[in-house]
Amino acid sequence: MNSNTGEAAFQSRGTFTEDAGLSTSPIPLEPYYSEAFFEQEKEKIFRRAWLLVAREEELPEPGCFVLKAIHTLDTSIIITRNPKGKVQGFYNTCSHRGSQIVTESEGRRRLFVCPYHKWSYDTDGDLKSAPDEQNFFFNKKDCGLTRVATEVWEGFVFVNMAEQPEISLDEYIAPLKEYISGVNYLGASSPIVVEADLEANWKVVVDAFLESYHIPSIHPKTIAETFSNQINPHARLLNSTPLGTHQQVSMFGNSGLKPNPNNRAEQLAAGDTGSVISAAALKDTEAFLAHPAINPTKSADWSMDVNQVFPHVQIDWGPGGFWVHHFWPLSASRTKYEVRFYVTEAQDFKQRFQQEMYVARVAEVVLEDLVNVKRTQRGIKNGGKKHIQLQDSEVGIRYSTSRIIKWVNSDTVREAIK
Amino acid sequence: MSKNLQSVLPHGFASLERFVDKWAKDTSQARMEARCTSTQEQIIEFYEAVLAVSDVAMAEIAKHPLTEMPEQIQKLAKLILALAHASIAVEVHGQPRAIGAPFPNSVRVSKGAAPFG
Ligand code: FES
Ligand SMILES: [Fe+2]
Repeated sequence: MNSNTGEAAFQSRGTFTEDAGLSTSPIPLEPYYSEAFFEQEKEKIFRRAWLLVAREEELPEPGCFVLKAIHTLDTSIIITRNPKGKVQGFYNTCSHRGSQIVTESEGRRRLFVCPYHKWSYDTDGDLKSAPDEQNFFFNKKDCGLTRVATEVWEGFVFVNMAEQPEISLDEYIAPLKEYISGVNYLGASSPIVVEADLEANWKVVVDAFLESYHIPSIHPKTIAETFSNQINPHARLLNSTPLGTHQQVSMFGNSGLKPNPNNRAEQLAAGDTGSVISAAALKDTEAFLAHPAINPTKSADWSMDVNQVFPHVQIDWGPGGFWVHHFWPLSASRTKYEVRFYVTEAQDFKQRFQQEMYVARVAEVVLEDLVNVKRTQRGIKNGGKKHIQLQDSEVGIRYSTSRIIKWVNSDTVREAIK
Repeated sequence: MSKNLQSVLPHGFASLERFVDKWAKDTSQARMEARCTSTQEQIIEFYEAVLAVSDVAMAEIAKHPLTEMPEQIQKLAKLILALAHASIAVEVHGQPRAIGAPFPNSVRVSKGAAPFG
C-alpha cells in the first residue's frame, strides 16, 4: 500500500503506477471500440468470472425471489431462497419447451408455474408437477430448472455463468476478501436505485468512476467542491491498492466544505446537525468507519473509496454508507448502468427530506456522466488515436484495463487472476 | 376546473394549494420530472412558496409517524420532498436542467427511499 499524505504529495509526480508494478506508457485504445474485443470480453470474462448480481437482503425470507438480467450474455436468471434459507440461481427457462417462467422482477412464491402449459417448479428448481404427466416419456427428476452456480459472500450474491466454474468464489475474491471482509454494510436492505442507458463502451464508463481527476471539470456545480480544494486542486488520489484481479482506490475529500448559506433548501436539510442521527445509528457509523479498508489512510481529507469487484461492479463507500455500481456491457459502444445507494430507512421526515436532497443530486451527477461518456465514446470512435495517456492518479484505469486484457488473453481463470 | 370545498392540504397551508397538482407526486422520479418540465419562473415560484412555510410544515409533518400520515399530511410531505428537486434548478444549475444535458434522457430513479420513493 502506498499513500498520498501531506501537501507535498499533491505537487510532484506520484508513484502509485510504478508501485503497482504497472508500465507508465500510453495504453491501447482498441479495446474501447473493437467489436471483436467485445466478443472476447463476453466469452473470456463474463462467461468465466464470478459476477456480483444482488444483495442477499433482496431475498429477506424463504420463498422470495428476484429476476436478474445478465445483460451482457442476453439472459436472465431467477434467484430464489429455499425453505432452508439457501440462495440459488436458475436459468429462467422452462424444461418443457423453453418458455420464460418469471416475468416479474421480484416476488414471493412457493412454486414457479410456467405460463405456457403450467409446469411447476419449487424454490430448489425441482419439477413438482406437469399436467398430463402420464403422457410424457421423461424422468421427472431430470426436468428441473438449469442451475447457475451461485455463492454468497458477506451478503453479496455472485453467479457464475460457466457450465462448470473453473474456480470457487472464495478463490476468485481471495485478495479482496482479505482486505475488505468484516465491513458492516449499513442500510443494505433499503437501496435507492438509479438507472441509465449509456452510449459508451463499458470500460469508458468504468474508467470514469475509477478516477476523481474529471470531477472538477465534469461536475463543477454538483460535487467538485467535495473532491478537491486548494491543497489538492486536481483531486489526486489518496491511495491505491491492487487486490489481485480487483482493486481499491481511495479518493480525496474536502473536509472544509460547509453548506452554502444561500442554499436555503440545503440548509433546511442540514439544520441543527447532530440531532438527526440517532445514537444507535451514530455508533453503527463509527464502527463502519473504523474498518481498516475504509478510508485506508485514515485521512481527515477523505471522500470515498472505490472497490472494483472484477469485472463489472464497484462497491463504493463514503462517510455515510455504501453504494454499488453495476456496469453491464451491451455492445462495444453501449452500457446498461445501474447504481444502488444503500440508505438506512428514515426514522423521521427530516431524514427523509435529506435522502430526497441526495437522490435529486445524484441523479444530476449520473446525468453529467452520461453526457460525458457519450462524448468520450464519439471521440474514441473518430479513430485519430491509437493510445491514451494516463497520469499517476489514473492508476485505477491502468490497473483495470490491464486486468481486462489479461483475462481476454488467458486460457484459464487461474492464470487470469494471477 | 372546479374546486373541492375541502382543501387537500392541512389547515394553514392554503398558500401551497395551487402547487399540489404539479408537485405533490408519489415518487422521486415524478418529482424530478416536475422540475425538468417546468420553467425556471415556475420553479422559483414554488421554491419560494414552500420555503416561506417550510419550518412550520416540517413541524406539522413531524407530529406523525412516517408510515401513518393522514392524507393531507402526506400531500404536504410530498410537496416538501419536491423542494429538493426544485433546489437543483435554483441552487445548483440556475436553470431548470443541467447545462448541455439532453431532455428527455435515460437517467431514471427506479426506486426511491421510503416512503414516497
Ligand atoms: S413451456 Fe413451460 S410448461 Fe410448456
Ligand atoms: Fe463522474
